[in-house]
Amino acid sequence: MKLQRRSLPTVFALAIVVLSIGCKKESFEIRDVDPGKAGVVRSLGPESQDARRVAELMVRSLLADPTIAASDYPPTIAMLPMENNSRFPFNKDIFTTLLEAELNKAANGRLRFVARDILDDVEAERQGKREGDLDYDPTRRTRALAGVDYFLKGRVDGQSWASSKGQAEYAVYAFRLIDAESSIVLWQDVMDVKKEGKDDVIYR
Amino acid sequence: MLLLLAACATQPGPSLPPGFEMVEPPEPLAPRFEKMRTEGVRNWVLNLQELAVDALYLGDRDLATMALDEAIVQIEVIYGDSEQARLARSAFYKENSKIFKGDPYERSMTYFLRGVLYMQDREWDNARACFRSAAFMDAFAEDEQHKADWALFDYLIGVCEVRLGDASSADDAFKRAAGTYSRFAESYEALSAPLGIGGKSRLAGFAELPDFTRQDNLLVLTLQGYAPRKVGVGRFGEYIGIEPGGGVAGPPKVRVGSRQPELVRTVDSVYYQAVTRGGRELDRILGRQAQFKGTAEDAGEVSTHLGVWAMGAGLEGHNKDVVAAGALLTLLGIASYGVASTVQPEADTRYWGNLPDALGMYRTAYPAGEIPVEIVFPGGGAVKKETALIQTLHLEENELCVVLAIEYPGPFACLPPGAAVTAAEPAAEPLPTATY
Repeated sequence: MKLQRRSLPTVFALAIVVLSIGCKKESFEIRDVDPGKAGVVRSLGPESQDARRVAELMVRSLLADPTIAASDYPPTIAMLPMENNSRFPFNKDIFTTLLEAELNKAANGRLRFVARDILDDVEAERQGKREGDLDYDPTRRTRALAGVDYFLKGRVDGQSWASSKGQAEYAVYAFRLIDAESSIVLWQDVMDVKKEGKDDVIYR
Repeated sequence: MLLLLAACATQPGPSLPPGFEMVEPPEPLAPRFEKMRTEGVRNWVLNLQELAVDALYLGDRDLATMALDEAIVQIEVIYGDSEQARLARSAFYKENSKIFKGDPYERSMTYFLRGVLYMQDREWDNARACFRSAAFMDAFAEDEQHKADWALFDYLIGVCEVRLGDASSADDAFKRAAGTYSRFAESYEALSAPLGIGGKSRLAGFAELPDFTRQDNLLVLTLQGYAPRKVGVGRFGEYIGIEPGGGVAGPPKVRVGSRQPELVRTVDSVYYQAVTRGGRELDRILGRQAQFKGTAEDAGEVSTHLGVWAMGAGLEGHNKDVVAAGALLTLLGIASYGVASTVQPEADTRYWGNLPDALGMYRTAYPAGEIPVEIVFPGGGAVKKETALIQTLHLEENELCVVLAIEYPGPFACLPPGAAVTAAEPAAEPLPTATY
């Protein structure tokens, strides 16, 4: 087909449109994503979907355990800080906060957590009530702060490898329920994650 | 149309890293923020690294922490076969068009500084994680002999293990550190003596690293001298060369309370780490690009010269065919030059400009109380003058106080929150400016 001179501007405009579409970048400013799924921005370290999966697994496993399921009364538990034994510095509170909240929600009163992180505030409140500075219901008075039946303690252990073929990271997330009187481990479960990645040659 | 094509390859626009839009920078750091915004994501890591040191210098631990955290997030991003990476690999784009993550030694130092801040906050497990990553970053070095050979990182892992109560893991870490340290002292002397930037005798090379016990309540980490510089070497600057930023004349001294001054042990050198990383895979690609550019330039030169000569000879002899052949050769030569000029094999020579060179450590157990601590940098190396830092610290029994003392441009010290009884004299020197 012979190209008419007057159709040249149309062809040129079409080329611009095609090129514009072709070079459209997959960029975004901010968007909401599902924290339970791996996003576009990935890391070989702990990610949100790992925290969610760990919490889900531990909630199901712990609530099904006879220590909780067959208990005659709602046991009290203190969540201890998680220990990070991997090569990734991360906010450990994400794991413990998520797990504690999910446990509280799913347990529906079958267990209770003590808030040891605000001990100073509780002490000050008790003192204010007892000294008459603050009003309170005397029938709700307790002799002392609540002791715990169990400690819930988590840790993550990691192992890293690197070679010309890429990087690999293996992480084992473990939580234990420990008897606060005897130190006997009454329940334990783990979840492991292995991730591999390879940076472009320009970064190797 | 060409403009449109060029626009396709442009970098993302100016922006600050996530969270930094909300930060009101201290006045001296406003230019650094503006630079970080202007240079955008391509230089985020580099600007965050330099911002962290500047913030420490100004005593802004929170900002330094934020900068290091974000730098680590960016360093850990895996750029697989991304568009950015593809462009940086292309013969028609300079390597420095890529997003900067730094060389292994720069990534290691990012984790090291963050680890020290975690130590000061007594988050021993996250500090240990940082030192492990600092050591792991060096595992990307191509030179097998020098992979993961920072003695200080293993030593600090051991310190964290002691604080976490794991004696067995602490022993393992101290053994690794001792092995690396014994090799470092010899290698560093051989490497640096010809350059006059250090050497075993000048660094007061102790035979062994000191034991660290749970009773130790003061750990001083010193950073001395200037960062190494990256320069382009080769015909087109296609390889990275490392030049010493300036050495040190000797180790610092620490005087605690009424004791006599004691020498700090120089354990690692950033320059040493930079030069022992080995070649990169990318060097081979850039080398081929440089070879192509060189061949095209040479061919262009020969062809143009021959063409001009042939045209001259043809005109003199009134031979149109020779003139035409000469013209064709000249055109080919110019075209070859044109092709050569589009190939850009220059290596990326951006570098972390306000890093130190020598890393030292000193530990001791001292009775609890408000104790004056003096740290003296001897001068005579890259930093000419002797400088001293005097501070009264709260030392507690069985609680470790970690002090990070930096010679340049101060001296200045980064202390754990609440550790200082008296503040150090504010540093009079201006903030350093990086050149790359």
